[in-house]
Parts: sequence; structure tokens; C-alpha cells
Amino acid sequence: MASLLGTSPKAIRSFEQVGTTFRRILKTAALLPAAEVCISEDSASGGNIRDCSSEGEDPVSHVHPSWKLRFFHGRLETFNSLSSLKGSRSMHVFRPVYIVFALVGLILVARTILVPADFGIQESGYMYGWYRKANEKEWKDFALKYRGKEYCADCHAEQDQQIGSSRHQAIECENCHGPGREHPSDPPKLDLDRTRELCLRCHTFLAYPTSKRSEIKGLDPDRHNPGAECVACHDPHRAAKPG
Amino acid sequence: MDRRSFLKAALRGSAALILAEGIGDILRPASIHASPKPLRWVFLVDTYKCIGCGFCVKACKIENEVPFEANVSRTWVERYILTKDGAVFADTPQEARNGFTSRLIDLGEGRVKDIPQEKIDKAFFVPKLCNQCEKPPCVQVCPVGATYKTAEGVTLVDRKWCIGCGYCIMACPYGMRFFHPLLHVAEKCTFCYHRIQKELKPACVQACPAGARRIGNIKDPQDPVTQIIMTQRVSIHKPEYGTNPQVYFIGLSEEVR
Repeated sequence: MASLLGTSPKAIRSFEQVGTTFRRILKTAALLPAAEVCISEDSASGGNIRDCSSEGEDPVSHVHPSWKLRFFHGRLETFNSLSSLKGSRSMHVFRPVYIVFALVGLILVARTILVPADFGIQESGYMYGWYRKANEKEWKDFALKYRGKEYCADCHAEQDQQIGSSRHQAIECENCHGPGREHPSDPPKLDLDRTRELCLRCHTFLAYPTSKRSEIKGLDPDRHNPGAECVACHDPHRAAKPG
Repeated sequence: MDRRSFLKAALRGSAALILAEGIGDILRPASIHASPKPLRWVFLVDTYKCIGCGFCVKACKIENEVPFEANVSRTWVERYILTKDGAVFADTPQEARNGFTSRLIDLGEGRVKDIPQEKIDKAFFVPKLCNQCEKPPCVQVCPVGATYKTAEGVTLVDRKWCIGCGYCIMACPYGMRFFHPLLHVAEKCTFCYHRIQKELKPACVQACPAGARRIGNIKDPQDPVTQIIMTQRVSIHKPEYGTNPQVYFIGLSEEVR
């Protein structure tokens, strides 16, 4: 890699040459009088003598009133000095460019292998719909846990009727009994929450005037039989209907 | 290359760059393949009805396999207490996964405050969940295309694609996103995408005994939720962010943030 990037003494020499060329380009870009460029080029390129009058013009005539012509001559000089550098060693400068091209090619090949075919712009547009389409299906197949009252009522019709005629009719079976999942096969027995804390979710009295919470029959949990399980005395399936 | 041709090339180049900027609009397939299904999920929260039982949070965490004891949740309930002397208190103890079972306000760091009944001016509960924005900023910032908005308007996270950079968590103005404690990917409310596809209600909607949470299709004029949104006074959360949220609230107060 090091030699590729051109750190060998040979390459350093060629870099020096490139530097010289670059200085020349700068000079020409500064639009120096063409004749002057011509002379300085000859001395800088180490005795590589070119006849400035070889273009069939007197060196003095390079100092032309037209800027365009002067610029043209300057470019021509640079081209001459570039082509006069020894051999093709000056092409080392392009090696990093080849590496970049190879890397870009490699990334493009890897992309076609790694990125699935359904990844791209979907229905919701370029800005919000840039994704892997198959993921929608993965979310749709997510396992259900809560089955709902109707699922329970299929077998436990008696209890469903009981709670349906009580004040607790709005409460889902699974809120207290736990998620049904694939019951009765999995789990065979549900994890019923009998704790006092479950009842207190609604029945801790909170005197909030702008909330329905204050309309629920509530108590102060620190005063009403603290520590006792509510279900020891109260049957949640037979909560009294409002009179 | 002379100066003239250089200037010409530069002009052409910048013109090409300006055109390329508009390519996103030209390539937008939604305008070409208009969605055949007229469906856009929306949510309606009635804060007057919420009693703060927290059954929605419990159901959500179990249904969507978010560890119950971890202090992160896709949905939560906030309690607001506005006192007669103008102070505002808000808390959501453990995202209200066990409901509000105490009148003590959780001030954080183990401190609590008891506000006597006679000092309370207003007090209410506000359930919160992902707004499923029409212009979701969380989707825009995703560097890998892991989070996206489906054709039905629900924003989802591709767990296989997410690299866990957390940009989306920072981008959401509502703080709805978090890291899944076990999967280490961005996690958010999906309106229970797996349930609504099967014409079931989201877990939180089903669990709510008070009818404070409802889901509907805004494209269906016969939908009762759509009718409420179109004809009654509803508001959205933080409209100033321009995200066009699609969770509508009844009775949202300015103190709610």
C-alpha cells in the first residue's frame, strides 16, 4: 500500500517533479508574458532546451496585446514541459484515483449483494418511505397476547354474564386475569392478579374535580383495612350495579 | 480550457446540481402510484374520560413485549394538578404502569408532595402515545432507512435494520421513542400494527375501561372517530413543530407538554 501511495524514494523524486510542474502551471495561470515563461521553463527543466521560436514566431512577438493569445502560449509551454518529463513516472500521481475507483466499484458490488431487492422507495414517498418492504410483514406477524372479552366468553359464558351485569362490565377480563395468549393450550392457567394494588388503580380516592376519577367509589388505602386483600371481602364479578 | 469554457462548464454544473436537488420530488412514487386503499389510522384521546388506572400501559407493555419492570414504555399516562395559587404539578410514576394509587405527587428523586383537596383548582389525566405524525421528524433523521411511515400512516421501526444510533430518539419532539432495553434498537408505539391489521383494537384501546382511547380511520367519513375529529373541538400536541400529529385530544389543556 505504501508503495502504491508513492512513498518510495523513486516516487518522492517524481513528486518533486510534479511539484516543479505545478509551480510552472501556477506561473502560466498567472498569465506571465509568454516570452518570460519560455525562458524560465528552459532553466527549470534542467537544460531541456527548447527553441521558443520553434512555433515560427520571434520570442518578442509573444508579448502580444491580446490576453487570449498570451494565455494560449503559456498553456502550450506547460504542455511541452509536462511531456518532456522522464518516462511515464509522472503518472504515479493517478494511483490514489485508481484506488478510489476500485473502492467505489467494490462498494457498489457489495451493495447489490447486501441490500435486499425490496429495500427502496415505497408508497409513502421518498422522504418518509425509504425502507425494507418485508418489515411490514414482520410487524403484522407479531404475536397476539390480549384476546379480548369475546374470546373468554366462548368458554366462560357464566362468568362473562356475571360481570356483564355488574358495575365492572367495562373492565376486560384480561386486565385482571392476565393476557389470554393461546389459552387453554398455552398457558393452561392464567396469572390472576389478586393484589390490593390492582383494585387501587381505580379505587384510591382522588378528589380531582375535572376528572371522572373522582366519580368512582374510592377510599383512602391507608385507612381502609391497610394490607388486606380486597378480594377477601369483595367479589369483583358482583360489584353492585348502580341503583 | 480557456476562461470562457471554464465559466460555461461551471454554469452548467451548478444548473445540474440545482436540478438534482429536485429529483426527490420527481421520483416520488406516491404521486404516481396513488394508494388504492383509502386508509389512514388516527387516534382519539378523551382526557375527560381518563381515570388514571394505567391498564392501558400494562396491556401495552405485555402485548408489545416491553419489559414490564423497566422504566420505559410506548405509552404512558400523565397526571396534571393545577393549584389555586397557579402552580402546575405533573407526574407519571413508573409511566403509570401500576396506575395512580396514591394522591402523593411524584416530584422525582424520591421526593413526593401532598396537595390538599381544597387547594386543587383542576386535576386530570392525559394518556400519551406516539402521534404517528404525517411528517415524522424521527423518520427524516434515520441514516439507514430503518424507520419509516407505512402507507396507512403508522411509523414503524425495522429492528433488523436499526443500528441504534439514537438520532430518532433525539428528533422526536414528543419523547415517544426509547431504546428497547433487551433488543438495543429504537422502540416506539405502532398503534399495535399487528392487531389493527387483523381488525382488532390496539391493546391499550381494548384495555381502557373508561373509553378514553379510540382508534379510527380518518379517510372513512362514517367512522365515529373521524366524525368526532371533523365536527368537534379537538386539539393536537405541539402543533408548532409542524409534524402534523395524528393523535387528537379532547380537553387538552395548555399546561400539557
